[in-house]
Amino acid sequence: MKDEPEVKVGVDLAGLKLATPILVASGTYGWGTEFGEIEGFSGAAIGAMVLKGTTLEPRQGNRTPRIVETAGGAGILNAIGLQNPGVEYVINHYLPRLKDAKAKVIANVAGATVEEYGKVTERLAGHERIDAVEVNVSCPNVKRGGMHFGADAKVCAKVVRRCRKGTTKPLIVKLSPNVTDVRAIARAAVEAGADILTVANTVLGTAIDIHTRKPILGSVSGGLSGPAIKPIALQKVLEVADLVRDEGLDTPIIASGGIMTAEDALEFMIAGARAFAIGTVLFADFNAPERIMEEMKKLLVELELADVNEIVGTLERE
Amino acid sequence: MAVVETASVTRRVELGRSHVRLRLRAERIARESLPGQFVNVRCTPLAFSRKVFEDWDTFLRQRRAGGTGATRTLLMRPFAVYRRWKEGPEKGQFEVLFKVVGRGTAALAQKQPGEEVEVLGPLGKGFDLDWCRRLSTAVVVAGGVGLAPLYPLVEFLRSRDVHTIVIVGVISEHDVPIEVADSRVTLSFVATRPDLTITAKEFERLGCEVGVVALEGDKGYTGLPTEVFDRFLHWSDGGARGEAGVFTCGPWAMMREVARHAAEHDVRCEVLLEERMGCGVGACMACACRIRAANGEVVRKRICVDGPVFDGSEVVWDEG
Repeated sequence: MKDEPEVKVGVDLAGLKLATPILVASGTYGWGTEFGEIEGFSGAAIGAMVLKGTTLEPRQGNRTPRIVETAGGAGILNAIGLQNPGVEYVINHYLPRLKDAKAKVIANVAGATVEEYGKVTERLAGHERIDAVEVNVSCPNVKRGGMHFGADAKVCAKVVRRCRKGTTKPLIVKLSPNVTDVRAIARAAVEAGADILTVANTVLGTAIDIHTRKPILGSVSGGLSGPAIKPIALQKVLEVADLVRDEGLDTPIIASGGIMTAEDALEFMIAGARAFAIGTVLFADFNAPERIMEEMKKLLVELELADVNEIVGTLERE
Repeated sequence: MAVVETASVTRRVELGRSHVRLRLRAERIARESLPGQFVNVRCTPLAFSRKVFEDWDTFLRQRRAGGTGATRTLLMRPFAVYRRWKEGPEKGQFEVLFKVVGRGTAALAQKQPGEEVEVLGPLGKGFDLDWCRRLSTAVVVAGGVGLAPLYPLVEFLRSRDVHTIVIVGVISEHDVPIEVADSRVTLSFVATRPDLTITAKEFERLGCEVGVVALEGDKGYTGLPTEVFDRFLHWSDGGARGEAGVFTCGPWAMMREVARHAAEHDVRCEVLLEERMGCGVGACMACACRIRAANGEVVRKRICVDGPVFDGSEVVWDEG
């Protein structure tokens, strides 16, 4: 192979500096060490890992089945239900294991009340290993907390304001695609103190077994992810990017939804995202971070770009 | 440690109406897998991934033209390691035994000798071999294709000279997931029906007693495997045979009954649970089961890394 010119891939998200624009999405990367149990796995291309959603007290999550693949392998429906051992356990047992991790570590915070969101933010953000906090107002799989907080601009603002009070570290708000107007929620989140927006989370869906006439998922509904939702997420990113530009804001966007390849990722960046999260693809291809990084560098050379940031928000419109 | 291996199919056998056993050459997994462990198999190739970076331009052109084949499955599928060979002419190979139930198994069932599949494994924690080693008698109860993960266990038990009885429950004689012989076999523990027409020669070769119980049909013993199992436990009660152990894998209700009966007779029982999985390495938390901890608290454990083998008395069975 001939020598390739060096392409710059580092990104700066409101002061959160990442070595690459690749994040691994909350809930798909466990507590940051599980994939390391596979021989040959490399997390070197991961700019930041977002840990599993964490609440104040332990949560047992939903009944099983919690996962089902959808037609043609186009996506997966999941309904885990924020199973986690509670914030203190995470701090005492999981964060120490990440001591030597090269990637930035982002906590993902959830709760049943505004106060719980705030307290979990304070506990996690207070830990030296946590570089930023992502507020999960978009989990579709819990009855209380999650999407409920992200469906209404006023409620969302309340949660974000409370979390903002809890930390000076970069605050990310992960928005739901299951809303009529994502721009209204995005605006509220930014006004309440969000530094960065993640767009989006899974799309609400379900599946039914025709023989038993029962829902396949134990909790009836779940969140759809994977290639099936990419156009939806891309649309949401475009809408939020337009809002950010039109209102003269400088809020970076992390795209999330069905990214399997570097081409997928570049579409999101052209739409206005400065970084992107991968998730479902990890279950299909453990080497996805490395592969996407390598593909991306080659694509950028092909597009005659020396820096990945040059492609952000370059969508051509008549 | 789990490893990704590109395995070539070396043998494919259809069993009955809906079962397939596939032999794969994958040195590390064949050598390192322990009884009760499983592998994740990529049943269809990924349309968006390529192996050879040098060939990148060709690959990209093909991918853009949609010419690399559609991805029909996204997640890998978990399969128990059935047979595996650490030595002899079959060294470096292992088998999966499965029933065709969906898109993934249907695709895998089509694989012919010479074709390749990507396999990740070995995964999970297997049976408690230190305990197995100490047993004098073992009763192994399999429901249908739940038999697959029990073969390496029986192999281990027999290599330690543990007297082993295998009971296999099937729907009908057409659904027997193992290769069978025509000869009749007498099973001493089935007091009321000593004749069974189906015998599983593969297991018998290991030197254990095997009984197949069909739910439907007129050949041999008809009924549920738990009925036979129950008789065995009653029969074994009086004997001073040293420590006995029970092992089971199959439908949830069957495992629940086996675990309950074993507990009633004060016999320890290990169960191998199965569930729809996402990642197979403990990251996604999809394959949860409810386990009663020592302090009585019920917690959800991950079947893929905390299991798939659990103590039957610790599993909370009331949630199907």
